Amino acid sequence: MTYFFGRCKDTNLVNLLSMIGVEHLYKNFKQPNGLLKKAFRSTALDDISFSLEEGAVLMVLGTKASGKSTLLRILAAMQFPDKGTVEIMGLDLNKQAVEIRKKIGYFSHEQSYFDNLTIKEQLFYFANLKGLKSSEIAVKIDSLMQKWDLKPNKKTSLLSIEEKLRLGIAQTMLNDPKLIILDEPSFGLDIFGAKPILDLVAEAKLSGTTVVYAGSNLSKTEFFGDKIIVLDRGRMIYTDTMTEFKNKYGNSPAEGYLQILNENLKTV
Amino acid sequence: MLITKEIKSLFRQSRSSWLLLMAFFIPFALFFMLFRFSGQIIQSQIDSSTTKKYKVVWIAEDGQAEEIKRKLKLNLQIELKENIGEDEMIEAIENDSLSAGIIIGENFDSAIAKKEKAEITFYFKGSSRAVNIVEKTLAGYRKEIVKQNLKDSGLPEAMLNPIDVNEQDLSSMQDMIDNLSELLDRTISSLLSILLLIFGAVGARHALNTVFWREAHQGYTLLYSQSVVSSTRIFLSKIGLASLFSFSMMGLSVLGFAAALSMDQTGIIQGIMLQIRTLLNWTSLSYILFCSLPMAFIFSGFWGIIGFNFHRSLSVLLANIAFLLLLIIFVLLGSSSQMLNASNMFYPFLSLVFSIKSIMSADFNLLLLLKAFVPMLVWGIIFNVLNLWRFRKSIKN
Repeated sequence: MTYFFGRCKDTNLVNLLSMIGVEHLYKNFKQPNGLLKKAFRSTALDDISFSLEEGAVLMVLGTKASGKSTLLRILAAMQFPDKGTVEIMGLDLNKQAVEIRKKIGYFSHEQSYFDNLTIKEQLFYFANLKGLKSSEIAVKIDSLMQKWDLKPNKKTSLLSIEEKLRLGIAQTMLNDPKLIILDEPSFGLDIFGAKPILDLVAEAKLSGTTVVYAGSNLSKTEFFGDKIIVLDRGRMIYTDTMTEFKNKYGNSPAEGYLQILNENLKTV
Repeated sequence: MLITKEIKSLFRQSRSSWLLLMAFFIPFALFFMLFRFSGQIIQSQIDSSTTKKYKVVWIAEDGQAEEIKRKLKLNLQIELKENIGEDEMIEAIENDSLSAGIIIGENFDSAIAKKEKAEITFYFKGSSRAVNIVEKTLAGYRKEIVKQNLKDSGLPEAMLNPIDVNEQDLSSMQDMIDNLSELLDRTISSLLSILLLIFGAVGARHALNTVFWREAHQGYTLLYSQSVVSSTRIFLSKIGLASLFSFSMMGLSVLGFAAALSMDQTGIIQGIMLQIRTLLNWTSLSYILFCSLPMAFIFSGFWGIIGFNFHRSLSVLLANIAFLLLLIIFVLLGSSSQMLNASNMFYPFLSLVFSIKSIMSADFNLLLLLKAFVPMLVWGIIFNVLNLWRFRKSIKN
């Protein structure tokens, strides 16, 4: 099953036993343009269709403002499409967003933490937001803090970028998600700093948890997973399995990615 | 509990505690000084009016009209000057260096004793307190002589003096106390209204800045959009805290005012304080707090909307100035002689000013106060529904 330039060749197969099923997804944003002028409308996602099987790892690549974050936020039921259907674990996003959120873990490098709270309080608050049972919360938080080497009473405003990443991971895993969505989690980190993320993905893969990963840096470490999608200005310009992608572009996936972008530029 | 996080976020900022302290101490200090200095001013006025001495010249042969002289000397405001000649006295009265002059005629006492006409010449310039005192003293003496003469003649006193008018001069003190009480009432109600509005607004603004604007600005909304809990609940925990903080600030202002009121003040102010304390007991203070309750809700909604739409510092400054101007207009309108009534109870801010004025003048209708509570609550709901709509929009994008 191959998609190219955002067109699905075999739509009947979409959603079949899939963890994620996206069909003809459109999303626009209104940008304010002063008080008396009409707001700009910018297209964030333009006719996106794909599916992802349970337990698979999906890489979403794209330049800045290509729509990666919007796509991931829609998959995490944090935003809603203007048109099209999105099904996550068989649940309709437009109707069952809360149910979807219960089963999803989302982490973004843009995420902030409440700077007056400690790590433990931050996790406790987020667990409440995620609707976890109060009897489970304390045990869950303690085990996650231990696992990701977090000091409970340290204020979030004093955390280093690596500690923030580990806190973000712990927060993502609070509800034992069946789908983990990571939006440029290693942004601003070197390979050592990003290690917890790679550990998390490897662990998820082993346990059969589905992962959607949006990457921004072109290091080899970010070309992993089972499937790849490349977005550009809201359109899906390439999708294939990672094996096919690597077969096609050999040992230089970064160059392959750039080639895809350049080909698309010529077409536009 | 979602609100626990909001409380921690708010109270871990030292500014929050400072604001609460200020909400108590600023009204306390302001009202304490107001009571103290207004007391001192009135006291000094009364002191000066009772201790001011009017110089009156007394010219008489030795031992003549001693009874009149004694009566004049009894009055603390009259200072009798003797050994001054008539010409010198007239010149001094014309120059305003003397208040009045009395010349007792020759053989005054023997003429009185013989029931003959006795003569007193009274010099003065226009009317003054001194002239009034001397005239009253002379009239009193004349009355006594007539009374004695009638008695000696065996005639009833009522023949020449059918009406007995008892004059009691209370003007100097009571008028002053009444006037000052009225002035103080008006000043206190205006000042208390302004302070309540300012502290309520500052409290709501500070709380919302911490748990609302800053979060929206720093991207915390990304967390809320992952929430399973409804956005309305998150919103209510924030607005609830902001309203509570705003109300606490207003409550502390009222307490600061009550503390200043309960301090012992010296001098004449005690009489006025007694009057104010009678009007402003704990029941009326609780009515004021009751009226402030929906105001806290209005402020939270108001600043929430402002915060969403003007989160850049310059615009917030403009919004603050606009709010202050609005407040001044309302307080100026509120300083009119109007009290809370069915036509002005619909305006937010203004209705609080009128309510406080009515409560403080003890001229309020409890039913009207309850009725005024409803429109204020409705305003609060309108502001907060708009606010909620904006909050949900910011989360859902």
